[in-house]
Amino acid sequence: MMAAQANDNAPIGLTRRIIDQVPIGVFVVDAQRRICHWNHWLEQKTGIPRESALDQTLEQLFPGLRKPRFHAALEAVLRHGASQILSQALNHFLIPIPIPHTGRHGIPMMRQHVHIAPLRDQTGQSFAVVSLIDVTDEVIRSSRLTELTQKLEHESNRDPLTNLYNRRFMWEWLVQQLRQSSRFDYPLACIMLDLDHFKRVNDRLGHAVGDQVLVSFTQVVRGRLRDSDILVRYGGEEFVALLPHCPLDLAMRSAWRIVRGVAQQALAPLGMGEMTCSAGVATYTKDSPLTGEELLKLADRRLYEAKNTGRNRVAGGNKDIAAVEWA
Amino acid sequence: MNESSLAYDALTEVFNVGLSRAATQLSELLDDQILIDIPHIQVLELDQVAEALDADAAETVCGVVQRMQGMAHGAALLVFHTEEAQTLLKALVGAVPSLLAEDMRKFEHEAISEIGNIIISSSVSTMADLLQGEIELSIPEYIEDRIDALIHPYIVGSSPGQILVVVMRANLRASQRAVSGSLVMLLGVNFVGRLLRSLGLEECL
Repeated sequence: MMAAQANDNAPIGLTRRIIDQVPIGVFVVDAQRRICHWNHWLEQKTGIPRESALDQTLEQLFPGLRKPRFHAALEAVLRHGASQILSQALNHFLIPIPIPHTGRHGIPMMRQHVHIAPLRDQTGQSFAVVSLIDVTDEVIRSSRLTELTQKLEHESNRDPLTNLYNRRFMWEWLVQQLRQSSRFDYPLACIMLDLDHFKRVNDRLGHAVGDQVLVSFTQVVRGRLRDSDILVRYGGEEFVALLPHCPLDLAMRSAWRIVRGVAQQALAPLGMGEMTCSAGVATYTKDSPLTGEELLKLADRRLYEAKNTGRNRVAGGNKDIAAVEWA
Repeated sequence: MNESSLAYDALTEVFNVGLSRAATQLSELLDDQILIDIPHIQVLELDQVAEALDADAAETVCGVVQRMQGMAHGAALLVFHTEEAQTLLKALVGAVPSLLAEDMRKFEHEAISEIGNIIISSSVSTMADLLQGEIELSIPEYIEDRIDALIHPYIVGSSPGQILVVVMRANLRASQRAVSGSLVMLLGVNFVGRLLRSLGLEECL
């Protein structure tokens, strides 16, 4: 809207009535920032009648209101004729109007998108026309959609039983991490874990107990990894831990702590020592670069070496460790 | 056009003063220390703009436009490569959910529009103050298209020689990140002449 001359043929009374009919908030301020028009919509929404609003500043109407962006915008409009917007995204609102059913989605005040345009009267005096559009419903819809999207995103990346990451997430993560490892030259370790003779638990005690054991197992493992490591349910009773910035010997130690922890703790509802696990460790380094598939395949091969040499142990190429040796 | 670097330095300094006001406003609005500077200004012919913006003819760019009226007729556009706009939102406004639904993107567009509004207003009022006149600006609009398509509506009906383009690379730095956009002002050749003369830069035309 360009600075308009208020010199058209419409009588002032008619113009005022039109502004009173529009379903948005409109007020006008003069060069001294005093309100010289306050439309019907604002009267209804704020409960402040026109007579009380006229000749007041916005701060006088709403003590405690601090809106420096509004004043900078008024300056731009009144002094330079530069129209301004105050977006809902950055300002939330200009006029504090509590919304009914307070706290709908944690939004206590009406959200507003605000336009401020310059206006000149016949004598050349500057005014600013401020219009407010209520966008609260859009914001609530947006926040509901955002929550839903985040929930779906979370669910599509997680295993519902253990709440660990799933394979789908792991491949996306691994591609990015290997790129970083290659670029910044740091090792990335992969520990593949499998519960020993887990099938027997399911067969003897049922799948419900088997599921409980899997959840207990993930708690033991998670407690032995760093925050920056990720743990993935690879399938059934097979799990993958991926450890960025971790060379082979440190990864072997982490794997060993997990294997020993499982052997020395009760995986509820089983008793202590009733369940053990085996681990295979492989690393990506600049000297032995592997693709994601190759890294997983190597860790898997080492896991089966650990299984074939007695279980309850860690295999990592020429550095295999039986839990008993480190105990 | 004879590009005297000293002369353009003077013009750059004038705009940097205006943009420091925009930076103060943005810092207050976003509760972060925002710095804006324009290291370089060019005055170009229309057909040189895409190259100056480092934009492929087919690339979609986005930004904000405000029409100018009064002492200067034309338009001021703040243009970003699309990924720079996303980085800007993240750096200045925080995490923005990556939703595809159009009405969700509307809030991102509004945020970009207001940031552009502040930067464009400050720059244009700097020019107006320099020439002691008034340049009115329309309500800002979010825009997204190829650069030639963005510029087209503002040059319709003008012959190529009537319009000059002032292009400024604007660097915005927040505490975490820095992004660059370009401020593009489509102005009449006479107005650009007045602007340069006011700084004693006639030799640039």
